[in-house]
Amino acid sequence: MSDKNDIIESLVKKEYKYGFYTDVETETVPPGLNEDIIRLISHKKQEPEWLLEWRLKAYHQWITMKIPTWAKVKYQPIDFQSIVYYAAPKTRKAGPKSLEEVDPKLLETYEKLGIPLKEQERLAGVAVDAVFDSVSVATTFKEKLAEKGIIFCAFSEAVREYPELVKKYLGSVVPYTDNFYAALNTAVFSDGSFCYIPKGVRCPMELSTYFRINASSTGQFERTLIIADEGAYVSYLEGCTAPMRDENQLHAAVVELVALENAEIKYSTVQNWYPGDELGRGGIYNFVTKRGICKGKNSKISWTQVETGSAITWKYPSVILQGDNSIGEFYSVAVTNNYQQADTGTKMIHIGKNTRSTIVSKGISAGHGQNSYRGLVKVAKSAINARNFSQCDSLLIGNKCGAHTFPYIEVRTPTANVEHEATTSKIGEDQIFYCNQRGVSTQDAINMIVNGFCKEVFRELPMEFAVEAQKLLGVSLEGSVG
Amino acid sequence: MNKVLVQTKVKDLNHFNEHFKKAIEPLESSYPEWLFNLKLRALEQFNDIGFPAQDDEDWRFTNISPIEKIHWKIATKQSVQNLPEDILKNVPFLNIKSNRLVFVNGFYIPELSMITEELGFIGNLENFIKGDSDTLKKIYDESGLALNDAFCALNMALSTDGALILIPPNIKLSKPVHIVHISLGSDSSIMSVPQHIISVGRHSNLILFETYSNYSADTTFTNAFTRIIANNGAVVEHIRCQTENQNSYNIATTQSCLGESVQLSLFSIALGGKISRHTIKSRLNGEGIESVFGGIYMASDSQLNDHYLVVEHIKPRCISYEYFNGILSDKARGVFNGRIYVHPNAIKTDAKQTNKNLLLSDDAVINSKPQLEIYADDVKCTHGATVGRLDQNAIFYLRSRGININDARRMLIWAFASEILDHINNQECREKLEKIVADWLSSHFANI
Repeated sequence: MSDKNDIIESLVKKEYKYGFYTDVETETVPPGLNEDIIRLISHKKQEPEWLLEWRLKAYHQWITMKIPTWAKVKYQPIDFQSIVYYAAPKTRKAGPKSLEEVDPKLLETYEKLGIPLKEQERLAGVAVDAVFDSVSVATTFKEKLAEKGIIFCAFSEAVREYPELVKKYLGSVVPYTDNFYAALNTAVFSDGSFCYIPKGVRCPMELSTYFRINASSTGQFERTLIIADEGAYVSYLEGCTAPMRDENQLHAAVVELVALENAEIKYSTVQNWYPGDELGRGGIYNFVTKRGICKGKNSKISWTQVETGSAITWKYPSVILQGDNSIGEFYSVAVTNNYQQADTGTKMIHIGKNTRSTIVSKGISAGHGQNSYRGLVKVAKSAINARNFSQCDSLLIGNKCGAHTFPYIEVRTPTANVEHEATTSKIGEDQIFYCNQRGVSTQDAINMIVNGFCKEVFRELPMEFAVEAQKLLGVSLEGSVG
Repeated sequence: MNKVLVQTKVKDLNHFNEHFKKAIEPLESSYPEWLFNLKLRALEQFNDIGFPAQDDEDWRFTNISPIEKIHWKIATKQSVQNLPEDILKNVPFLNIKSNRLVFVNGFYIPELSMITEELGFIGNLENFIKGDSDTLKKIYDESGLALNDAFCALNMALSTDGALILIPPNIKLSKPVHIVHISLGSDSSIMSVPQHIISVGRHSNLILFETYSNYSADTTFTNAFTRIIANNGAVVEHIRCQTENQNSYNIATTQSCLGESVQLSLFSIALGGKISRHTIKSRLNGEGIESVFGGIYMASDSQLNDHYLVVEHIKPRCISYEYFNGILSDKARGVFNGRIYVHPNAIKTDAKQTNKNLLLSDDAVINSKPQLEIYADDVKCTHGATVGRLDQNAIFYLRSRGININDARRMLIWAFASEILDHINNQECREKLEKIVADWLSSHFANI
């Protein structure tokens, strides 16, 4: 069993050997952060004056802020002055020329996850001919979307093409004063996605960064803004199941969702960034601020996340339930293996009448992993008849890991009905024995039990994603039981 | 050493230091060295951390600035001379037969106390300190004293008296022990710092009541610190009942350290105080412990009631069940902060935590924070928290059977509270508490 583990671990590690270093052609600026760097970023991106001012305001706020330390995660302090805050989009020439050059073990994982060949090339960073690239697929999709009036483009493009929309909603859900990393992101964000669904339009397909041309390299400081106008519906997918190559250690993205009257946004994330090696060296720090606002009546925002990667995951996708009868949902599976740490959960802020929220969080810890659920359910006085149901279950595999639950419940109206329940358990030896006895190997038995444990969340994912997520969970936990 | 005393971080802490100088330092010669050093260390610690602010995660929902603002006069022995005759009038559980230890403003009043038990030691700390220092030191060491809390540190620095109960092994007391604490106000705001120590020997059995009340409506502040050591196989039932007036402040800590196969039930009934907080910390430091922690907090007007609970599972095969119910009306605020901490070796832990809250008015607020921290895999841990109002269907059911709405509500609230009281084994005490709760309900909800 441990052999398999080694293979997985080593391939994840080896991935980084394959020369993804700064290309000669890449434009970089000196490390560190100051006003000049921000002006430079803004200038390079040809941004309007208001955006630069906003970035500078955020920067001035940021320098007065302290690094938050309340999360239950341990890591070496980050030197913010040693980070390079601007690098022009990377050209693909740095990558391997064809799949033959890619580490066979990496391909093995892709195989296990059932990723199509073309997709494999994209993920491994192979410099493929543009004709066969998913880019071409994206163009067809783009036309279809444009027909319906849906705007789906890179953030910088949106700033140029739709400044009014961007100006109206940018920072309205996550202001730059919100927290340390949100302020940092606001000051230096590179690019991201912008999406606008017009009134009454139901987006005909699942939108994904997959299909967006410039999304092939996820930025270190990404900014996503999704607006669903009255009566609109959109399902948005972020990330993918395959291990992504990425050389940035700190990721501080901001995602803002705005749902107007009768609108619905469904946001699904599968995150599988480099988690560090088996001794906990390296790995991505994923410090993300995600928040949605149900602005109008009867609106709905639903977050679904499967978090298996990153050395540290620290994020709380939240919903502000402002409109009457609005609905917030949060479904999460977080897996920590080896020395991974996750402090994740959600915030549901009930403001409008008859608002409802559901929280289902499943944490799985293996190896030395530490997995915390931290959630806030806040019911304001105005939220008459608010309803919340929270359930967070933890599964422990092995005796060196930890599972923690920190729910906060703050209620200010007697008409609210708030319920929270949590359980912690392990995979029973009797369960494994039962499976073994019927010819199911221990590893398969574990996968089966874990998948059953997470079923409630996987059900919420779009179908293809759900299938991949199940496989991914299997790979992530491989070798965790010996 | 004097240097330490001068270095106060916050100006407002000065009068505590002055009191230390005036009242505690002269005792140096009569105190064993280790204990006096401990007091100095505690004072240093207190000066260092100061009163907790709301950015302290553990005090996030409880703002104690009203306590900080008042210039407290620390009670001295002189304040308990010439006590009024009816000083015991507000004390609960008085007519349950018990070994009674009475403290007024933190000082032992032998004339009011009644001890019939001859085994072991049931008395006060003050005299014992001057006598058998070694026994005391052993108990101090065993209790796993933690001074990282400002109020515990302050109590440790300033307290000179409190109950001391030492039960030898294999003893079953015929009567419960009742620690009575009465706060007696005067023209200035009085602060008392009682410190109680209870050590129960192997396989002994103790029922302990601890009650806090006021004599009058004066503003008082009680900063109590109780430590319980239960040795292997001991059976302890501890019921704490706080019924102070609504002008007073009560911040208390109960630390318990449990040995193998101990059975502990600990109940906290909190009705009084403008701001009251009861910190319960329990270390399950032996295998096969069975523990139950129960509590009811009922608050009205602008009361703030806080329960902070930490149960540490250190050894395998221990059970801890926590049940806390809160009833909040008017502008009252309730805080529940419970934490179950399971150490890596504590396998086969069975821990359960429930916190239910009933909000009876539009302005009542509850902040509940039930937490699990688990570092062992073979455990069974659950927690649950609910917040809501009375079940409308249940009210309808009762009304459809001809019960008027006020009675129906009272019945349901009563049922909600008695759920906790049912866990109390001592029948006499349970009945008394039922009456206390019922009286509270009828005085507060005559017309709901």
